[in-house]
Amino acid sequence: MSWVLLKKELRVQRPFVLLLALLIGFGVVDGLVLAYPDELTAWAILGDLDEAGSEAASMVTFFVAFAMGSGLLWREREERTLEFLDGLPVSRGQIFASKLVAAMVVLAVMPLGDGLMAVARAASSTHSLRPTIPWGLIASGMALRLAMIWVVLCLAVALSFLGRFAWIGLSTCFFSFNLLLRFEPAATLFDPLQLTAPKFRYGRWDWPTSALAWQLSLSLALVVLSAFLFARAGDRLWRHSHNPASPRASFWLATASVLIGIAAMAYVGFGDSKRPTVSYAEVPTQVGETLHYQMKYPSTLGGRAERVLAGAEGVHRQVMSTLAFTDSTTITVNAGRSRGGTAGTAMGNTIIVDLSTSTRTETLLAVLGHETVHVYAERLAKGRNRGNTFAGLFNEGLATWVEFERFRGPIHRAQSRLFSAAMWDRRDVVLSDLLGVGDIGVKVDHGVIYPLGELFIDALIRRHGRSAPGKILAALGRDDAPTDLEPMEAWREAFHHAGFDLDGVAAEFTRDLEGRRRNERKALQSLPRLFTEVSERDGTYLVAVVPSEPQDYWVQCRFRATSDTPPSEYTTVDLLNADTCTIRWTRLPGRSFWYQVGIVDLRTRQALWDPWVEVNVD
Amino acid sequence: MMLHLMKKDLREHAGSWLILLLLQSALLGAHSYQATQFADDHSRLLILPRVELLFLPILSHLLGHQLFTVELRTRTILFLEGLPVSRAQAYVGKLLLGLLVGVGFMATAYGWLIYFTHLVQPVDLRLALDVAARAGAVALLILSVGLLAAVLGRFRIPLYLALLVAAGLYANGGGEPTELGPFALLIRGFGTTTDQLPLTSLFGTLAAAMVATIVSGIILTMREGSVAILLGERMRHSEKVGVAAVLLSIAAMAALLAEHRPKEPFRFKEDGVVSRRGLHSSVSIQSRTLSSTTSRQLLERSTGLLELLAERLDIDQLPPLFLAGDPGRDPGTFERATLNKKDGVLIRAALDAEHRAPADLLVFAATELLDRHTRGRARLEALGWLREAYPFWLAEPDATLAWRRAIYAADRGFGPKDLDRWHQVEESLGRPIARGLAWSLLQTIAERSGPAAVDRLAKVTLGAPVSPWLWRSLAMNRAGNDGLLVREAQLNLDQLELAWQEAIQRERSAQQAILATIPKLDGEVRVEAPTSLSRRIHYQLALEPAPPEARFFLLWKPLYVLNDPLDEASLERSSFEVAATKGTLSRSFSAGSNLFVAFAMVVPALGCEVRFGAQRWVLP
Repeated sequence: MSWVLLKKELRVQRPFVLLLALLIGFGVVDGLVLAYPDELTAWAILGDLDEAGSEAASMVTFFVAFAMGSGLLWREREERTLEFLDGLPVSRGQIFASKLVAAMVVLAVMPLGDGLMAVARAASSTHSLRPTIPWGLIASGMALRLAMIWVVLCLAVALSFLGRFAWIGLSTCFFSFNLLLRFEPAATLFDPLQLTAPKFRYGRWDWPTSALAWQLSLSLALVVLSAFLFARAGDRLWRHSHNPASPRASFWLATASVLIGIAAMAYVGFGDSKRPTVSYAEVPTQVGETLHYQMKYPSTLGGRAERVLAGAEGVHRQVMSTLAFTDSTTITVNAGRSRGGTAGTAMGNTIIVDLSTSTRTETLLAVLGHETVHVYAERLAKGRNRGNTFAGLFNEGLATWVEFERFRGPIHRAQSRLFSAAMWDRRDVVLSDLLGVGDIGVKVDHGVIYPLGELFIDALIRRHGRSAPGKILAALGRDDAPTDLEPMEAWREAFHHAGFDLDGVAAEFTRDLEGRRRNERKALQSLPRLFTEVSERDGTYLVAVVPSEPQDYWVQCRFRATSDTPPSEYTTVDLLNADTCTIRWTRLPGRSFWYQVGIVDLRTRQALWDPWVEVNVD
Repeated sequence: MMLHLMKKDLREHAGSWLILLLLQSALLGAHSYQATQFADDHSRLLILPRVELLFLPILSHLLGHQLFTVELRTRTILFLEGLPVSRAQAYVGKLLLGLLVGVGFMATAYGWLIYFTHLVQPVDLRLALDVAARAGAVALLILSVGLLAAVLGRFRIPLYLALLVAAGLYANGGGEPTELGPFALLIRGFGTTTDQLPLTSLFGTLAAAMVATIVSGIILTMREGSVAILLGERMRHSEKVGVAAVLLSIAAMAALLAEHRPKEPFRFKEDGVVSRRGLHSSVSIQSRTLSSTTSRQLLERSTGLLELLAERLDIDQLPPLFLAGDPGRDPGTFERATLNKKDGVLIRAALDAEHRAPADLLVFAATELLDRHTRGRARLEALGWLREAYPFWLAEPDATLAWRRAIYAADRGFGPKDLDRWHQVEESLGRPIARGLAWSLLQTIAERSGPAAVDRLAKVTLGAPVSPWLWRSLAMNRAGNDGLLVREAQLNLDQLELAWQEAIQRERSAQQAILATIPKLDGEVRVEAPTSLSRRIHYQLALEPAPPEARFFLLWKPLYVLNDPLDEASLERSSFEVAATKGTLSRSFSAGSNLFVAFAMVVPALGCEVRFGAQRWVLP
């Protein structure tokens, strides 16, 4: 490496350094001047090095590093200054090394700035619970961010030989990588953002050693390849990419590579010939109609469908009379598979009822009734009855309340309310979880809105009568309803407009739950509490549950990779004739995973889940 | 001639169109295959927005690149000079061709998806037209922006970034991106209902597309196209960085301005509101269940305390206080809502119960107002005891009970020496006992140096106007209690300790009988490692004498790696009967995680919940 070249490279990158200095300057003004640094909370100390800002900051770092790396060599070629450099008494290897080192030095300004900011924040906000600067955490965060920059820089330099198609190359890598993750989750080891995702154990930053080893090895290979191409064959590649006379050839090259990528993924995804394949004949679809429903169903479920159709008008009448609605629009019912393991779903004017979930006509009619309520609720509110957790609580509560009131036996309602009281008693759910905009599923279970919502609607009806839900929905959907309100404020306004008080209903609801907590103490204490132990053996995670076979219930475990994994991607395991749930680590390839256990009532199939638990793994 | 030129462009790029068609087919095929494999409740028409958002930006970029960028950059566009066609005709032809090709691609996708959806669900004409209108408008917008970007040449990336920055600012200003123009069209009721076609978004999107197309036309024809050629040149490195810096600065400034934008002040909009504005304070009470007489009585008492607080601390104007009735809360539990900084403090409480003995509520409110007045400075650890005790002291509470709590704290080993580590005191004792301790210290100071000394102490710390400047805040943090006490109360910490011990002894003698009824509370937590990953918490309680039929709580909370004072409301509470002195928490924790564990129990003689055995763990 030549010092003169290095100095020249650093000089060239001065505008970039200024830009980074500007970014850091904004951080200083925002965090240390406009705010009181001694009032900062622990979450703010590590700033961009940590969870609060890591994802956004990592993305910015990624793109800045890639932008710099992809232009590092290419720009010399593009501006024809490479020919001048070739005329100097320095080798291509020296030029390459100087550029790489200069880029790394410039990019290191970002983590160094973040680190210095973290030290300043920590030093100015100490107190008796946090008396010292967390040097180890800050140093780890900086080191891992530097590692990420290095990996991205190496990737960018390697892709820069595609010339102006470097960014297309990056996007191809991105999409291919995401597709690959679906089939081989362990590939996450090659995700550069994994390097900076913070994990803490034993009060220290838990380094992603495997990912670091793999990615540093890969970056080394990329550097060697890039150095070779720069010294030997790179000019030819650039010529293809740069020649304005042959843009079509370059375009075809890029398009062909994209098509090859898609074809390869299609093969991996759909064409795994090693797996046995089974195909069944298409089942013809039949249609049945009543006054208010048009049902499409596979002919293999014709018997159930006909029985449901026979009772459908009765369901419609009961829903209408219970809620004092009047509407005669025909509802389309598809006998398909419902979302997230539920027996039914409503969307717009269409209902999906999964006829395969039960042979009992009463059960299927209850599902139809539940979903019919959703259809009319949405129609009354003109689609404005959505948007936050409370909307879910209200909608599912209303549908469940009608379902229990009209279509289910008392045992279902009793069990549901017992589980609600248990959640309340254990403080797994608090009122602010339900009235806020947060995601209750992250903490416990999305399904809590059914039993708790049923109690909320019960409180509303006790306080204001059966027509109250309809009035509130109509208030939401009225033409002159304000449209610029936050979701919760819109609900509050609708309650107010209908002549009710949301807080009063919430108070009634909490009083009811408190009463149940007091009065049903014995029943609550008789609910089985589950104790768990997690271990790992031969690449399998094992969750041992005690008791594994409680009386009147069965036990289920659920797993998810991260706190924001959607429920449709949870893995659910029934604990039947066993005391341990197992899952392969490849299904949960991160450095931590989440699990929860719950009991399911044998008679009503209602579930009571414990909160999710995160497990850090090596 | 214009038509001829369009045909020439069409022929010239026919191969590319074919490849793009293949790409689109691959995308549609993959999505359609997925829809048949994973049958769910989603309408198949929802594939269209996904394809549109993924494919159209690529298509519009490539269209722009082929029709404009290459010709402008390589200046082959000058060849058009020699043709018997006006520059405007040639450019408009290219623009039209770009839009037509793009719309053609989308029409293909649309046609397929209507057919594909029709196989499983009915698609009536109205729904088909609704989807066509939405998807068509979005397609036109994306294409016109893509073509504008191509015409903008080297400033296209700044254009994209500026759009991103604008979207970010919109979201930052409280806007919902999914309600914005094209996103609203593709999200709200797309493919499921015809009742919700957002006409404003539809026309807004079409108008934006038209503006982008017109701007493209102007740039292409301005000064005979030389502007477009100039823009088509490559951007220098310093130019790129300069543009990025300008965009970043604009984003930062706009975010700052948005944060400080004046907003309508908060006020109660519901029924049942009574308000009163005093010389230094204003209070509003909203309750549907309190009678107006009771509300006014509560208003009187609130204003009385706040006026006294403001006068003693020499505060010109306290932030407004809003009290909202919430009958569903337990008495004694208060919730502070978040308002804009200048709007004051909103507290929800069970006013039906509180109005009979509102001291706790008013002390809580006064404390929160002081936090707001001092811009949060009152929460700093060194001032924590004053923040906790001064409004309480001013409210003249039951001195006997307050001394009893202080004696309990003293028996647990806490005293004046712990003032500079107030967070630990509160965490170990719980807030009511800690407040009793802090009150006893103020009472001791008042006895030794006079009540004026207490007021002086509070005035310089809680009442002084707070400068927003950095140096001031740092200086305040460094101020310890010893110097403060000497300066304002002529007592150092050792003298205060002696005086306080004497007062404690005096009160202990006076309350001996009732103090004897307080049980000795102790609790121990043990961590077990059943596996290498799981940790289990065992607890053991020691009470002497054990009160019959009482319950105790195990408080716990997983902690972040760096320590901060705990938010009391976020603590998990497991409740047990006192008879079950040993047990295991039915939760499993991860090895190496941080955890706070404590015991708590209501002690009638102290009139509050007492905390003991508090500990922060890094689970081994």
